[in-house]
Amino acid sequence: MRFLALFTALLLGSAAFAQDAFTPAATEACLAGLDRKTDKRVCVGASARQCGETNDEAACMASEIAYWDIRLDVAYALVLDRAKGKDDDAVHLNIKPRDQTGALMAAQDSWHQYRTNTCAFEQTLWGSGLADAPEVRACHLYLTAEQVFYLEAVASIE
Amino acid sequence: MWMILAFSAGVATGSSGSEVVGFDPVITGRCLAAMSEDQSPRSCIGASAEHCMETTEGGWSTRGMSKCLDQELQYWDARLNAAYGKVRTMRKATDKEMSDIGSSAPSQAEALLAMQRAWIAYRDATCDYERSHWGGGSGGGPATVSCHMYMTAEQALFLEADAIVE
Repeated sequence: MRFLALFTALLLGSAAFAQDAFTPAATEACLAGLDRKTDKRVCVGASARQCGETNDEAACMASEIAYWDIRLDVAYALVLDRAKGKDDDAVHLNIKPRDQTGALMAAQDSWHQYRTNTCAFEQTLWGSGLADAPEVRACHLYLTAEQVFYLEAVASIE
Repeated sequence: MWMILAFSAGVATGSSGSEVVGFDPVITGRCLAAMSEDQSPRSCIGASAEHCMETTEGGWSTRGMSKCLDQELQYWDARLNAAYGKVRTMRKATDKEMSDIGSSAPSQAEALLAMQRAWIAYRDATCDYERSHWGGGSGGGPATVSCHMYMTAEQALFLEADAIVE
């Protein structure tokens, strides 16, 4: 888990955010201060809100979405690596392979489609009907963060 | 719509709950009613199933857990179907209003259906993945039912919140 946090920090440090004013510090401090029972989602968007106080809100939101996208890639890569390891072990131990790699890839693909279609539905509900309406952005932000929490939890259990 | 209902309900077949005496969805309802505004309704998911495991003889056996979880899955599945039906009726009404005034706005009802279909595929693939953690182990049964229960509950809560949006 600590490795993951470091890896994430390194990646994020080199990521070029659309807005120099954006830093994920508020979101991360919020998450670090949570007790185990509190829903992590209360922290999602904290950095975008802070950034938006003095900067363009849409750019700040885009930056936090980019932050969660990178964190998702990191978590997915880690869990995928574990799945491949388990599948390889099964081959070496001559036990029935479970194809966890295939199952994970299928799950992640289906999640992408779910996010696309869910936010497309939200898009039809709001006045402008545009893909960059704040509510549609928020949909992407929250759904991406939730998948990050899920995959990071899987990674920390294994 | 009917395909989704049938598909959705099909998940929970295979175990009837007749032997489960400890299941009472009131536990979940009470938990939801007692929540303060800053709490997430998600924290109530699983409350009835857990109560069932504690109060049913053999509730913590693999079979007992599956049955209790399955009972709560049925509860959320019914809520999901009700919420979906409500949202669909509302969205169809909006579509009609929009087309009556000559609007070319994309159909909300069709977008809703596409969302729900994608959610079903996502639920099934995610729970298949969860099952893969267990190999052929006996924990895979309850783990899969638990996955379906949590995901169904979350989608029910999502659609119920959406039903409030007029």
